[in-house]
Amino acid sequence: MVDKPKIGIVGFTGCAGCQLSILNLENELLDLLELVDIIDFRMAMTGNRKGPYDVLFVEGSIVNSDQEEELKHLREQAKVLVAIGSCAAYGGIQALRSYGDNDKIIKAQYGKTDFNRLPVFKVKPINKVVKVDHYLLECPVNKYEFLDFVKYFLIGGTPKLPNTPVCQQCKANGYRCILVEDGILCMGPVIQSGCNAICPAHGMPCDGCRGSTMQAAYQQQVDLMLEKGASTEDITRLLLKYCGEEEQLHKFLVEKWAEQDKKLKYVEG
Amino acid sequence: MTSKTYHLKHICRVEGHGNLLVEMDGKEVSNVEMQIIEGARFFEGFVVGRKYDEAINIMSRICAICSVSHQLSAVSALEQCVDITPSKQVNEFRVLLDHGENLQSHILHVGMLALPDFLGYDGAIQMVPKFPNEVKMVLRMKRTANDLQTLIGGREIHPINIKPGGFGAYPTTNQLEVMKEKLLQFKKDTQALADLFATLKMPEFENKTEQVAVYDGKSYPFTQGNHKCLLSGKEVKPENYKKNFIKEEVRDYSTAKFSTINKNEIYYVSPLARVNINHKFLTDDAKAVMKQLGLKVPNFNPFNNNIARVIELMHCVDEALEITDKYIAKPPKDENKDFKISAGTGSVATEAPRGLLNHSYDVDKNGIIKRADVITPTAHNVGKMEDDAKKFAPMLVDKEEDEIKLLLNMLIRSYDPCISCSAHAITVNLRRK
Repeated sequence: MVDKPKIGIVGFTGCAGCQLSILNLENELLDLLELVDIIDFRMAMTGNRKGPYDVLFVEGSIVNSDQEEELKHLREQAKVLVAIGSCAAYGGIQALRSYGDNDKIIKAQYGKTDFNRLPVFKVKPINKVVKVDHYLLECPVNKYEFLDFVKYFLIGGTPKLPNTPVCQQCKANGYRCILVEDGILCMGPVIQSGCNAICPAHGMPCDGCRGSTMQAAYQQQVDLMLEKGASTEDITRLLLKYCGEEEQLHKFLVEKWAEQDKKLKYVEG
Repeated sequence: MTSKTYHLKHICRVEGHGNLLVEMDGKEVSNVEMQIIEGARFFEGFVVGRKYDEAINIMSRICAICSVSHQLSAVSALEQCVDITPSKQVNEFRVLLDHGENLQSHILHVGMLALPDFLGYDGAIQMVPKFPNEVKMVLRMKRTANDLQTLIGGREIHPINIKPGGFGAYPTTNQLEVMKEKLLQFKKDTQALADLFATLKMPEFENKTEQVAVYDGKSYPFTQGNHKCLLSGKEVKPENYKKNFIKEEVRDYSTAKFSTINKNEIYYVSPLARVNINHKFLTDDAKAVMKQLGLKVPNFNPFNNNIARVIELMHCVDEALEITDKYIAKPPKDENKDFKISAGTGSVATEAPRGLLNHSYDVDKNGIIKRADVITPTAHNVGKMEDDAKKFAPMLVDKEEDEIKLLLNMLIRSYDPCISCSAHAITVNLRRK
């Protein structure tokens, strides 16, 4: 019998929601374990082995040099490395620090900024530290995207993203368009689908947790939101939540939007 | 005498990253540090300058397992700030959603993180060959809890359906009926779990410190109430949480802040604290489980948190069934409306699955957040975890190193620490001289 592929699931800075999402595959977990060998999953078990991995799933963003070193070491142990969720892929909520007054944010939390033994750097998505082979999206990661990836891996391939906006799934499901009809500021037109438009399904606006869709039309999105009465500040806050280091959004923010929102600053991590 | 250091690095089967350092000189414990090494995250800083309703989804990201608690606490405190009063229906659906989280978090902890310790396995995954039915039962219960969170919150983790004044959408009668069937099975499974726990022995250890839980004098509250102290009987309103009560300090070896109450007193929040303080208000079947498992109150053994979780599984499923029944008979009304908002302050004390949670905000007249403050259960508990380790380690000196490490790990795990929460736990380092 061929050895089962060895899988690792590790977390850096985040909420542990992506790892929990995998544990939330209650109906699939036992079948999955027939097909793969989970050798490292600190949140769920003891007796973990630090590689070598056939696939290593990495949650969370990188916020200090210890994490940077650990991630580099893990990369050496992994044939395939997959970023799971918005923190690993795009910096996550923490990446807001790259666009704000870092000292002010740290002070709001701890009352001081000088730490002897707690060096805190700017936030990096993991692809700023190591090569990433694949990205699985959402905040937290969509567990069915995770499952699809494992299935594809087992038969020798990689799944593709839909590369359509959330609007596409929203329309297909027949939901009311709250952006056009109600003027609720929804990010659906520029965000990668795959979530089955769960927010509009509940009459809530898309919050943008999956990152940009292919060729996202950010300028048109911003123009539409302005037309619906949003202020510059409103728009900056809506754009900047989970995915500050996502390539297309980041490019739009620093190259185009910074001219319109004069207060927006970006400091490289 | 030889000295010895036990450094439990990256404590497993907890959420997030933490170490426990224990330095021993013979039978004396010379130093204990609970090192929360989770990368610092600065949530309070992120929401200042944002619109009040945006904080609901942002604060959720403090922690996945407690994401419902963070959202519900944020929305309640922010509603106070801007002067919105949620209806009874909204409050009841919030309790129902909260119980989804309680069931999910407790069954995850009891069934997948703690049970392997008592049965001698690395994890639930490794238990499958020998205990297939138990593992399947735990997974079935976990599925139901997640289904409940999805039904009311719209997503298992980081719900998307909560907004000031209510919900984006309510479930249909048919969906509630399906949920009811699953909850009835959950209740049967909880009894089977209690029967299993009745055969397990918790390690013996007692540390008599103050305990704090939310209290309203008429129910077993999770989503609103005052602080109540077990030993002193002191009751403190949510907005007075920092007035001669909770004090936080920053320590250099941890990204979590350390808290004390009154004058530098160590205290403790947890399911056990809730049972100690509110056991009178448990449902009858939960009281029966408490009796079956022989839990005597007041209780000061942190390992009994596992027992308290099993009791609460019964209580929460009972209450969830009650609310579900009520809205099957009388479907929820769509009561979304627009609100006028005003400037103000809001503070709440709530119970996350692992204990007391404080959220407090100031909002200006434009609905912009000016101040935010959160104290998570694990931040409340880090001081107590250190104190426990200090007192528990000397009792273990004659044991083998592996067993010492296992028992120290189990001690920390009994708190079900939520480390990403607190840094907003744990590797044990044991140094013996």
